[in-house]
Amino acid sequence: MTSDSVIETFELTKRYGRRGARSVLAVDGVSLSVERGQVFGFLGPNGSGKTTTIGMLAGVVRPTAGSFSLLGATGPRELVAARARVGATLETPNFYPYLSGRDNLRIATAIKGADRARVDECLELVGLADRAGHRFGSYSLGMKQRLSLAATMLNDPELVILDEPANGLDPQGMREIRTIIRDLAGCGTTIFLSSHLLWEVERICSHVAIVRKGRIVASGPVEEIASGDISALVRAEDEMALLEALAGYPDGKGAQRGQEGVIVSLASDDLAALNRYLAGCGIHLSHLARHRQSLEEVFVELTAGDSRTEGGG
Amino acid sequence: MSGSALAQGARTARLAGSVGVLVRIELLKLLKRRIFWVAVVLFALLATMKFATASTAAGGEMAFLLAPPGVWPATLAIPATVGPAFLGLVVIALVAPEFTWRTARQSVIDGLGVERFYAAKCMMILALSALSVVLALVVGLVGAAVGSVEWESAALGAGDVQFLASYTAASLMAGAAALWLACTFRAGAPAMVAFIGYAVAEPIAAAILGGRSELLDVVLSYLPVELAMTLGNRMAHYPEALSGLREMMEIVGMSPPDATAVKGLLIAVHLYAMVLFAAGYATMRYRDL
Repeated sequence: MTSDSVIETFELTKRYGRRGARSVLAVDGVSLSVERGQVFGFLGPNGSGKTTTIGMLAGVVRPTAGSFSLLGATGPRELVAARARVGATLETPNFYPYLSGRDNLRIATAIKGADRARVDECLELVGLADRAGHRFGSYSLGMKQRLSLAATMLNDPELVILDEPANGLDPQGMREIRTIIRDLAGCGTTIFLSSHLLWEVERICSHVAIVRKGRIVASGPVEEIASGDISALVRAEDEMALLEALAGYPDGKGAQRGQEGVIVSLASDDLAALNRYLAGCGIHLSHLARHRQSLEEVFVELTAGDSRTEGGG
Repeated sequence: MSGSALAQGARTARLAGSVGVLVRIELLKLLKRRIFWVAVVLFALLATMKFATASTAAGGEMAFLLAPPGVWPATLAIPATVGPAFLGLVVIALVAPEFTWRTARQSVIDGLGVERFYAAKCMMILALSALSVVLALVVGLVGAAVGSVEWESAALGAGDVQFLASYTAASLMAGAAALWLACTFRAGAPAMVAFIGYAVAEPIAAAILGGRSELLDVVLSYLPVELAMTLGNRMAHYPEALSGLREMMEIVGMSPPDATAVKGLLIAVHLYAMVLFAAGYATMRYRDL
């Protein structure tokens, strides 16, 4: 384990059911490392093993194989103590429906050994101070999500683990959640965020791991993952002639039609050479620009063939 | 003070603090739970009705039965007869939703740990069991006060203490069974069906199988429901005071409980309670939440 790792997993595996036709390998040898201060996005389609992985970290799912450390803790007793220093939510917000938002946070405060004064502070922070005395069961989904976020902040955690925190929120709510996450990250809190809102992740996260069918298929800083390929966006009057010419470009790795023009993958980032080549072929470009692959494009490429790109996992 | 004594003191303080936290959490959950208050009122009503029935029967020369200490057997019979089953159902109603609401899971995620979550539920069962006894004693005392019968001492006798211990053990067994079922089914309705189903099925099975051999009869007398019923019977704890009644039962061919076997039955009930508590814990510990 590296000295500044907040989360480190080694070949973490979860199989539901015994080996055989009916068993499901939900997480298949996941190894990842989250360093202190990172905002780490954990992405994957439905059923890719995101929530199961988080469940293992949170102590509610027993790993079939592999190991992990949380805030340096590895043993069962150490992990229970470490979890009191973590703020985590898994899937839906889980609270007592007959208790008020404030009473629910009081219970969480007692469990975490946090200062009781933090209850009202956190309610204020997520904009629930006015409804703190109302029953949790009467809250809208957005309010439930915000209460869940308040609960994760009660103990000034070193690490916050959020599983789809923006589920059910309107654009304004999403923006508020994003602001809270950024504020937390600004205070040096490490954040491990599972989400299907890829543009949100791209805005918030410094690092990302993409998981597919229980395995990590890409991991690293968002900039590296999002723009791993060198490519250019080109436009010309005769698109067919352009595609024919690009097929013969020595530094080209393939070209395809996009919504905004033709995207050509390149072996080097010498766009001037591409322009000269196309001019030599008699094609005069109306547009030539470096193309940055979005996280969403990378995600779709890496998880192609999976059912959907939304929801839990 | 030696180092080991200091360490022991620190451990004790930590444990006390931990127990204090669990009590605080469970109280906060329990006191605002409607079903808990409904159960308390129901139990108090049930106790009052049973006491009123006993009071009506006791009059004239039997008036001593309406004042302590004579009132205690009838008073303790209230929780002893209906208490374990009632407590079991209440435990299921209180614990099973922790799984459907996923608050059990969130408690573990928040750092409570499976062990402390389960310990809190065991403490709750103890507290509910004690509460049912207190409620019954209050009904007895209020009944004695209202009954305007003179009395000098409210002290419990040896038979009363044995009756009380038997009830506590039987309620622990029922509570442990309910907790195990709640942890296994993780939903109130199927857990209650299983609990009631067993309570109904066991006496039927015992009636069908009974009388075939002595050994089988002994085995059947140690089954959980049979144990709870025997220990909840006043005649097992007040053999001398109720000797007349015992004789009458024997004349009509009924078999009153054997007062000399109470200690053995108590051991069996405690064993059942321990096994069921362990089974519930194992279910919590080794199944994903």
